[in-house]
This record gives sequence, structure tokens and C-alpha cells, in this order.
Amino acid sequence: MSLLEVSNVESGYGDVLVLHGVDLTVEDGEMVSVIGPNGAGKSTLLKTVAGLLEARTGTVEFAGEDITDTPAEEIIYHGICYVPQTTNIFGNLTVIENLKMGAWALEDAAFEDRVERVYERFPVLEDRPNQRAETMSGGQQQMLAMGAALMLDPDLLILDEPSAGLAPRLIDDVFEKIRDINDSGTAVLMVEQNARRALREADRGVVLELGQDRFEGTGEELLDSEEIAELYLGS
Amino acid sequence: MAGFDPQFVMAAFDPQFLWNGLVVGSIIAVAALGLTLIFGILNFINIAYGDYMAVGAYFAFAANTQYDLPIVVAALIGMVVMAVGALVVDKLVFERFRSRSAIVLLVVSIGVAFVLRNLIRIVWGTGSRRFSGPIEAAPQFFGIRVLPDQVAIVVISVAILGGTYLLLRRTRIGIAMRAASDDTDLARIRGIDTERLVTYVWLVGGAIAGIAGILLGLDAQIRPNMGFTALIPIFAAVILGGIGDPIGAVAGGYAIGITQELSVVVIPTEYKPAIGLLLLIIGLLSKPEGIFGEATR
Ligand SMILES: Nc1ncnc2c1ncn2[C@@H]1O[C@H](COP(=O)(O)OP(=O)(O)O)[C@@H](O)[C@H]1O
Ligand SMILES: [Mg+2]
Repeated sequence: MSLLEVSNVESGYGDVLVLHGVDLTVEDGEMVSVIGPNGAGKSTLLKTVAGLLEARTGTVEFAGEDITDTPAEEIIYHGICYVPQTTNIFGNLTVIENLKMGAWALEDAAFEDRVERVYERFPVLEDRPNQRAETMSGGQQQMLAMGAALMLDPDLLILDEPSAGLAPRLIDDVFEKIRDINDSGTAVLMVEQNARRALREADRGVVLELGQDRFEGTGEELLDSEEIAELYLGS
Repeated sequence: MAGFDPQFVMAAFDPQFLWNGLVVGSIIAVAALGLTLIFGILNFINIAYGDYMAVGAYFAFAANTQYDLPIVVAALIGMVVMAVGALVVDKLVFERFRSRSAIVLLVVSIGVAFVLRNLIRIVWGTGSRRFSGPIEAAPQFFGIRVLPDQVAIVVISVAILGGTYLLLRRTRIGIAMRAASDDTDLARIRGIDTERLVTYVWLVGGAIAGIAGILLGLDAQIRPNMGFTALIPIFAAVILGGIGDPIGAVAGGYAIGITQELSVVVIPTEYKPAIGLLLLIIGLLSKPEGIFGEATR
């Protein structure tokens, strides 16, 4: 049994269907990268798993439970934390308030403990607990987004383009943190524009195109495939 | 037109006008705070808000004069009635339209406003009323005429604003309200039940509308359209402060109150309400985050 099992999911916005039957699995402790061209439906897939969009057909199972119709506000209680592509922090809240909201689903007593662990992972946050989040740099904001999502110590961390818009040095930082988080046992499902990098880091890769999963394999297999290199890796 | 005679310019520094402005500004600030809180989380302009203020004032008036309760108890009754009332109106009316556009909700709220105002007319008549209390002497402090009611308005406003500040900054639920007002989807991702938050926001926003109406009734008269006619400076405060920004709305409220009262030095008193409209237009033409935006959140 996989940790996350997405089967034949169709989903979209209003009358527009974006995903036309997508299958995807993430095993316990695994890191899976989803790549594909702009508009392929990568974000839509993550939103559907996270409960922000309803699957029209198909099922989403997590740790053996059917979470297909579970609304977004309940997903976190199943052990899934999701960092969206856009607006993934509360800009008007301070750093510490963002972390408090990250721990919303937690008993108050455990907060201090968790926040210490997040500070250990992201020291940049400890230096500025009372800074308003939107006044931080892009890299710091991304750290806060991941830090807030890690407050609950999830079984699965879902990241939508964590390196988007960051300077190369910061991209290394972000991937290093993700590697770290995954090494400590948290499964990671990640969407990335930076496809080569994402495949290199991941245990497994999935190529999504036009709302369908086209290819699937280990990161290396996909990196080595000429067809995929030509079509999706821009070389 | 009074013109720009130096004498009038000097009068702008007359502490009497400043004091009057502070009193009016306090009322606008409190009212704007409630309106902006509701907007922040529900994303629609509630035109019925002014009539919530009136309903709060009328219930306090009834408790005060018809049931002879002390004004403080009466004010609490007015606040509680309007807190629950705002929630009931939401359940009966707005909730059904929540998935619709902001324009639909705005139009629906105009309907609610109309109904509330006419219910007031049916129950309490169309005439103007006053809270019971002794005809007050007007003590002078350093040459300023300071009515006890005005002092009460200023002090109660500070208490309401301070209490709301603590709620929004220091309590878990208050921080969640600000979070949801920032981004509802992200709040849901965090596990926050935003529908339950909406309930709390109506309760808080309704109570604030109620007390704002009571303060307005204390300063002037209680009339069926008292809240509706007060809407323009309140909207101006909300917009100047950056829609959905509580501190901005309060700053906007005081700024408008004081500007409005000082304006009588240069324009005839009858045109005083136009100041709110003028500032509303300036606010709309300036950056949408508001003039006080950014810096105050
Ligand atoms: N909120 C939305 N409303 C309507 N259509 C959307 C929305 N978000 C994305 N889409 C459409 O869905 C398709 C897939 O988008 P998305 O999942 O964001 O792609 P990706 O993340 O792979 O770049 C695109 O055609 C996009 O225009
Ligand atoms: Mg995307």
C-alpha cells in the first residue's frame, strides 16, 4: 500500500476540465517530482490532493484512507502539509504568527517544542520572529512557507515550485532543505519548473502533460531518456 | 463661503474643533473597524452595516428609556442584540449568496439595509429620539466645551479599539481572523475552519456596529436613517486605511472626523458631510491599498 495513491483523477475549474485521469503514487518516505510544461495541470493536481479542488472522478487515498472528498481544512489532520505555488505565507502576519498558524491543528502545549525544531532547520526565521512576513526576501519567505508547513511534522510534504523565482544560490539552499526534510523521514511530493534539478533530487519522477501522466520512472531513468530530454528538459 | 481670512485659518487650530473632531473621529473609527473586519474575511461591502448601527442604537434606546435600564446595561444589550443579529442575517440571507460575486452580495445587502431601516420605522416610528439622561451642563476645560457624553464616546472608543487590537494580535482566534482575511485558501490549508471564523467575525463585527451606533446616538440623535447617512465617512475611512486593514481603518476614521470638524472653519457647516465624500473619492483615486495601507498592518 502506498502512502499516497491518486487513481484516475479528473479535476478542473468550473466547466473546464484540466486533469483527464491522472494516476500517481508516493511511497512512505519517498521523494517524487512532478514535471511538465506550463499549464500541464501540475498545480491543479496538487490542489486536488490538498482538497482545494474536488475530484470529479477518481480517488485519492492516503495511508489507506479515502480522502477524495476531504475538504482542505481537514487534510492537514491526516498528516499532509501543502505549500502552494502562490500565496504560501500570510504576508500581513509576523513570522511567529505564521508559525503559530502552521501549528493551528496542534495542541498549544506542543508549540514551543515544534517551533524550536523549525528554528533549528531554518535559523533565518529565529532571527526575526516579529518581522511582517511580506517584508522578507523571497528566499526567506520560501523558508517560512516550508517552516510553517513543517510545524506539524507531516507524513507527506507537498511543495509547488519551491524554487520558483529564487536566485541560484538560494535554489541550492531550498533543495538542500528539502533533501534534509526527506532524509528525516518525511515523504515529499514536489512540482518543479527546474526539471533537471528536481529529477536529480527525487527518487522518482512523473511527467505530466495536458492533464495526463505521460511518463514515470526513477529520476535517473527520466534524465537519461532521450525522448524526455528533448520534450521536457529543453535540450 | 467663509474664504481664507487669516482669522479662519487661525481657527483651524482652535482646540474646540479638534476636540469635536476627536469625538466624531472616534465614532467613525469604531464603525470603520467593524466594517473592515467583516470585509476582510467575507470580501464584500455590506451596505446594511449602517443599519446594523441603527438597530444597535434603537435596542439600547429601548432598554434605556422604555425599560429604564442604566445606559451602560442598555449599551451592552444593544451590542449583544446586534452581534447575534448580524449572525442571524448572515444565516438567513448572506450565506446563501456567499459563493456568488461581491456585486451580488452588495446588492443583496442594499436590500437588507432597506428592510432593517423600515422595520425600525415600523417599531419605533420615524421621529428622532434621545437616550435618557440629565440635560448636561457643558463644563469648560481650558476654554473647550467638553460634554460628559463626548468624554464617554472617546473613552469607550479607545476601549473598543484596544480590546479589538488585543483580540487580533494576542489571541489564537484573532490571529486566525487576520490570517483568513489575508488568504482564505491558505487558512484552510492550515486546518482553520473558516466557516466557523466567519461566525466569530459576524459576532465581533456586529457588536462593534452596535456600539458605534450607540455612540453615534449619544453624540447626536437616534433616527431610523442615522447609520445609513453615516456610511460615507465610514466607507471613506475604510478605503483610506486600505480595505480590510483594521489599523488603517481606525487611522482613517480619526483623520476623517478631525478633517470634517475642522472644515467648518472654511466651508459652511451644511457642507460638512461632503468632506467624507471628498476623502472617499480621493481614497478611491489613490492606490487601492489605501493611503495608510502598507505601513499600518
Ligand atoms: N483558478 C483557475 N481557474 C481557471 N483555470 C485555471 C485556474 N488555475 C489554472 N487554470 C488552468 O488550468 C490549466 C492548468 O493549470 P496549472 O495546474 O496551474 O498548470 P501548471 O501548474 O502545470 O503550470 C491551465 O490551462 C490554466 O490556465
Ligand atoms: Mg503551477
